[in-house]
Amino acid sequence: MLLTGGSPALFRDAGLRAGDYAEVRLERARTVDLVWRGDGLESSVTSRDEGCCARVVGRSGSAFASSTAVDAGPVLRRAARDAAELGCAAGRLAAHRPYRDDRPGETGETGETGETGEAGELAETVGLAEKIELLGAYHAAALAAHPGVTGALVYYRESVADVELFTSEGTGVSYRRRDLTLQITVYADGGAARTAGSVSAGSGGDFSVVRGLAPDVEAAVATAVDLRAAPVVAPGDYDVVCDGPLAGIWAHETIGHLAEADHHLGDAHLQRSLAPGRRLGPSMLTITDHPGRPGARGFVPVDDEGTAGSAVELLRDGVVTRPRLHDRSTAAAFREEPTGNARALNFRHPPLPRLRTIAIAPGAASEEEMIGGVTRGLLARGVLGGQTDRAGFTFLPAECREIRDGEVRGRVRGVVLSGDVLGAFAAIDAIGRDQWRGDTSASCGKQGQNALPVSSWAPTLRLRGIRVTSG
Amino acid sequence: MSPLADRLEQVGAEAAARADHWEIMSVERDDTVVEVGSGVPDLVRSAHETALCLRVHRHGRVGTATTTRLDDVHGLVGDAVRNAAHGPPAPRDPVIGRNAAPAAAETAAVDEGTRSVRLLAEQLGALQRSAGLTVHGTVTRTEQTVHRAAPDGRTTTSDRFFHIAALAEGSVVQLPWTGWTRTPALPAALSAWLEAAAGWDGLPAADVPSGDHDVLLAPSAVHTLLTPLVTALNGTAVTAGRSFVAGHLGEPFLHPSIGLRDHPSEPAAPDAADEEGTGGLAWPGCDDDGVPCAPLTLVERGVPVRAYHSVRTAAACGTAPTGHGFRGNALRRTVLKPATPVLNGATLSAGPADAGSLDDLLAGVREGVLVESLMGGHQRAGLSPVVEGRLRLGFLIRDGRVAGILRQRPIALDLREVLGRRFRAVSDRRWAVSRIWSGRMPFVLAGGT
Repeated sequence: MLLTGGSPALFRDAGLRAGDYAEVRLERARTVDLVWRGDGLESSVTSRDEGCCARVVGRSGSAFASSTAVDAGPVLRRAARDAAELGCAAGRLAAHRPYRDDRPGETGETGETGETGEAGELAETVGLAEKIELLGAYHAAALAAHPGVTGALVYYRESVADVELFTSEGTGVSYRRRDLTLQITVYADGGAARTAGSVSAGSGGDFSVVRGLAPDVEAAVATAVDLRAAPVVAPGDYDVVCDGPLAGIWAHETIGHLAEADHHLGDAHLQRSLAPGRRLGPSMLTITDHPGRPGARGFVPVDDEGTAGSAVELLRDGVVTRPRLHDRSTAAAFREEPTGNARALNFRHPPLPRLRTIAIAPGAASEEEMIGGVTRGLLARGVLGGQTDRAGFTFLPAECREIRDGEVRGRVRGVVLSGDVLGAFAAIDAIGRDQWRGDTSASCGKQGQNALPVSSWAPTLRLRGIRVTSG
Repeated sequence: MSPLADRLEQVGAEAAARADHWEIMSVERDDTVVEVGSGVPDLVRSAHETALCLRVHRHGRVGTATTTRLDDVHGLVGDAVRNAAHGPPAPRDPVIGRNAAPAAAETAAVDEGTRSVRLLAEQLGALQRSAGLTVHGTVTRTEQTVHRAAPDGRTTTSDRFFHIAALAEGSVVQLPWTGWTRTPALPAALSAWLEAAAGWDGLPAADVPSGDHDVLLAPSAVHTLLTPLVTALNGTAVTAGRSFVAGHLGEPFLHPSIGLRDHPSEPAAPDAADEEGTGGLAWPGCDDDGVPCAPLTLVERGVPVRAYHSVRTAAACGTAPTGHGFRGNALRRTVLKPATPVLNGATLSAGPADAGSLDDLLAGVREGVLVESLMGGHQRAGLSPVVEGRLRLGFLIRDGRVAGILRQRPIALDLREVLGRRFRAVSDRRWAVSRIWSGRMPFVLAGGT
């Protein structure tokens, strides 16, 4: 135990009032960042980031304090003092099921214990020289691949964080989090605008996912270069076939964020929109947020309140089942059970309801069948950008090809997909039979806590009549 | 000597023994945040952070390491030296003379404690009663000190300021406002904006007019509209080959009255109120590379004239650094981010087309729309001068008055048009904006789109 040896003295001496809840989280993280830009390696940085935080939820108020000093006592006392001085309505936390690493099957989906995915080739076992040689070769290959390429960015990050959490209720858990991301973007001169192709990879610390990506880099170059001559898409309504990575992020940004329970507080319209029993999509559509699998970015067997993770079925057969992902505070507000979704980016932040691994269950269609059923549409792959505001969404696919009379044709550029978050589920009329489960470098941002590792699993989807604009 | 100053000495001494050259940056920051929910302060957050970044040159290569462990000097130097073994080539003239840059005078906030942030939060909550809308938000008080040290000297800059973020929520309207001030009082612009929002909340839903109509952009929408150009003028985009404007500097791009200049806030008169909430935008004496911060004209009479650079991007482009290399941004420094070019006080102006108040601009619109904010407008991030996204919040204007709340819809704005041939005027008041880059933006009126 890094903190107190498990002694409750820390909480006894903090000046807490009777009935106050307090928790202390200590984190020791080590990060490696490598960036290639311009004509070569731009930076190689190792970061050691340590600190602790304390949260007090009490009768007179709630407070959160953090510090890069690892002495938890002063931080806890500051939080206790701030909570006492605030003098506002009391906060409440729901009872929860604390995580225990001796309970097999805690994660529901995977049946694994609390091991945080130490499978594969751990990134910290690979030497810096080898990483720089491998990733630098991708950058050099992208720059040399075609005279139309104007630049390439390679951004690699790996991190390992050891976290300890103690609460005044007696919970004490420790866990290790690993994360690894690689983003390669290739730019080409498209006249008035730049065109881009990209490679995106990620894992829960397994370095092998960034090996053997030379063909992907070639494909990214081809996308950026070919897009220069591609016609700009004509605005209008299209049938869109989205590949797994795009469909997964779309689910994350739409139903996923809508289900974060803090958004439901005081929002009667959202509560009605996601009322259990309401039909949102076709009968083959089932979407779940769950603790993920070891080795993946969105693996969260225990959250940052110490709650054991459990799967939450948001939609089953197109109908809303459990519409809220909780931390203990929101669970208390709705008189529901915490779901293990209280996540904090690091010790600088309090936990919030956040997504983990969102999964669209596979359907029955093949991609060929889905494309074959489209008269005028688009085949969209990957994501360049995406955003929602809980009412509408906009997405920029990384690559789009036109579909005419059931046949995939050439690339088009400037595609922006947009629509109403809730209305789009009804537009789904086919779901692929193969569920994509790879991780990308795409992470989640919320209330200043960027970029939280998440996973998205999804099959190919076909959506009818999606609004397409061009940019 | 303070504990941190003592650590800087120790790190410098050990780095000097193991490397050919060294630079240290440390950040000390203390934040107090009071969150306001439905008009009531309901949560206090505080953070204290001290961190070090060491950059060494060894055998012609650069290595960088950061730590929050002030007691582990040996580990920090060891990490930096190890990274230098495989790092990028070191520049020929690393930092000579940069630390001679004058330190910024310490700009003290009026208050001397954290009580002021609570009072501000209570004032923010009280707007709920006066405006008749539900008010959420945060008030943040930040104290930040940045030390830089290298063999040729040391500098220290300190700053204190308040950040106010408010969201006024009605039955239909959700209107945000944000500002930075050194005065522990709510800016008048916030109250005026909420008052306006209260008047618009009960308006009927409306569609964007068909055919020609004017477009009035609020400061946050102007920020979104300008982001492609600001991003394309960023030295990072230039060196990465992703800038659509890098090869066209000196060519007409926007309306000839438009200028974009990065500069510090005008010094306020003693005891003067910060009515717009822009007085707290940070402008340190030097950037995190040690280069003095100086005003920079980016767009002059509609012509993009120069990019802004850190030391690294300037070297890559064969030009001089402009004092824009920041880890994070000037408002919030972090050793965990690399020094990249950032604008901290960009101001859009239009010379003779500065046309008075928002009401004056509204009065000139027979039929048009007021765009408060766009969703998804930052996604293409400098690849194209066209901003496409979805209208998040907008209003119908008819006969000089706000007459309806626009239904959400996709929207595309080409900044070459809105700030080009269709441009008509900007307001004389500017509000603070900060996302990716920071500055002061006016309302902008474009005709006949």
